[in-house]
Amino acid sequence: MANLISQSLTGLAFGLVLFLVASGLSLIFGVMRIVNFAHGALYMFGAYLTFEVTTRLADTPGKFFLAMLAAPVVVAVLGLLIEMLLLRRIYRRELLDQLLLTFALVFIATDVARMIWGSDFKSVKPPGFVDGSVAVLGRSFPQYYFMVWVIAAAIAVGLWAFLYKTRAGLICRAMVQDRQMTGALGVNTARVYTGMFTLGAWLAGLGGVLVTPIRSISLDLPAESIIQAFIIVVIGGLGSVFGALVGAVLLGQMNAFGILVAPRFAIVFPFILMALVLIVRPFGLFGQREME
Amino acid sequence: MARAQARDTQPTLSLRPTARRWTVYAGWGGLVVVGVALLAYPHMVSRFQVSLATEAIYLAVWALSLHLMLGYLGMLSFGHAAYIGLGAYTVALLLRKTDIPYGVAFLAAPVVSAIGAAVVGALCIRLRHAVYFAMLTLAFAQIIYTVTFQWYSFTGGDNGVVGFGRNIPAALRTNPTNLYYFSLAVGVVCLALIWLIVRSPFGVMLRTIRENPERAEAIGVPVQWVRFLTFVLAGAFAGVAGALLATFQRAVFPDTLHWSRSGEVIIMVLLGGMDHFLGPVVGAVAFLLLNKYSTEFTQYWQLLIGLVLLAIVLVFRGGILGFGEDAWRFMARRLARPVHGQTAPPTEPVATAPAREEPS
Repeated sequence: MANLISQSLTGLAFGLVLFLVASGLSLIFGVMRIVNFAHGALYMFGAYLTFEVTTRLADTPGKFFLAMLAAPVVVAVLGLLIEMLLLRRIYRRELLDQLLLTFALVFIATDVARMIWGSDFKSVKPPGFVDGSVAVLGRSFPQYYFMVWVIAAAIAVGLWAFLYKTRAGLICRAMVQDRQMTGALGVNTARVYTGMFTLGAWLAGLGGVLVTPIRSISLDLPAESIIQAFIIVVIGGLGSVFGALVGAVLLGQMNAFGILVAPRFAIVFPFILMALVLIVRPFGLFGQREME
Repeated sequence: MARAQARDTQPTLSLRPTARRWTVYAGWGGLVVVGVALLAYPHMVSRFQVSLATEAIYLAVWALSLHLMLGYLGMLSFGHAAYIGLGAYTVALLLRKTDIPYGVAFLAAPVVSAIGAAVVGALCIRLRHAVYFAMLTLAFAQIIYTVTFQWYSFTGGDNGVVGFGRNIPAALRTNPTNLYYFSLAVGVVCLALIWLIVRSPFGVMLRTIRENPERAEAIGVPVQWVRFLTFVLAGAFAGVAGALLATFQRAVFPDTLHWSRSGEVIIMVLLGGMDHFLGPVVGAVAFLLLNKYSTEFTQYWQLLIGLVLLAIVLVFRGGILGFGEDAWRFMARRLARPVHGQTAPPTEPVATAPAREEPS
């Protein structure tokens, strides 16, 4: 029993990191109707930048937190540039072109990361004060996971406050409902697009920072994480942040228990969950029916 | 008389009614020249170039199979590597583990790929939204990749399947020229079959669905059924490409199923030009040449093809053939019209019609 609980808590930590990635993906989709394949690549850059900062400032106390401040901002700027220089040109084009453009960015980003950091696996240690373990029901449990929970919870609350308590958030929700109507009411939709893409990139970057002590950084991250984030978003419903949270927690549990049941084929379970959701409720648990 | 002729030629966009006799002759002549060139090719070039062409052939079949779905039906699959992989592994495993004759193993490849595509297709086709479809095909391809990669006892994991070459007929195994002719024959058969499919009433349904699915549904096209069947057909042809790949490499590795391969085949189709039947063939050849010769100046292959894809999406929408066609039209308009107003390219019937009316 203790084993199961410990496994479940581990899954929760990883799921919450993925929530950060998936919520950005979901918001970008909700507002812009673009599936950003490059979202996983932004996440990867967050992870590599954390490695870069923590290696360069090896002797500085609080280097992990410096990375946590700096890396997501750099990734957000990257997102801003991608939106302004590339995506903006193809909003009016077919969906196919948008998928292909962001897919091209995955190829490019992977090789740029290879150029800068090489193809070896990299790892980052958690910050000193949580670099240990505590006993939970007699099992040792990494302290760092608690930090991930706290930060993810703070981000979730922050996103909720942004979406439901600010004017900008109101506009975003309106855009998810009906983009044309929002534009007709005098909202500068182009600026909302840019802002939303930048925010999404920042979230992906933060996810990349937080994942570094949990798993090794490699060039497989973009493909792997975009698929997982997409599964989460599909389960939760495209465009819904709350859905992304539920989906992320479910996926984390699926991963954790899948490893107990069939270690080698654990990756298959989330897909089965997604397939089930799509067959029963094609627009996701908390999505809008129009997306069917 | 001339007026009636003009009216006949005007409404149709097909090349056939407007094509002059010399165009038809030129077409057949060109086909004969290309055919002779393809047959003579292995006797004029090095061994390396013969095997390069063999590789180009199975890539072309693979790209053609995706084009059936992407170009004619307008459905973007991000998981098309799965079906060439299934075909290749079918041949490799059957020859490695059983004493089944090569021919049977070869024919089993498209069957297994088609079955795989039918299972995935049955689930994915339900999703009408392109985004869901693209992601779900990618997800299933990743499942197949992971299972292949992890199932050491059956697929050999990342060691791949090797040592089945002895069960390939000696004529194909030892002589690259024979293998080239064999691949060419299979490739031509696939090309002809896909051509027939595209030209059939079924092919018209594909384009109707691409242009307007709601309307297609309304006029009685069984949209979901056609989509499913196309997905399965594309899988089957990719399986043939996989069988050729296994024969060519005499070893199969899980790389064949990697997600980046699915991206590469999309790039082949787009590079050649999605609006042309032969686009995927041109794209596969161009892609392969780029792959082989780019290693001389860069090790960053993904960066290169990423930039190529970016350039196609942003600037060269029509790919190589589309670009060639634009250039040809531009030249034809520049050169031909001022001198021979009446022989302006038949692709612009509206412009030529008044000129034809006057002399009558």
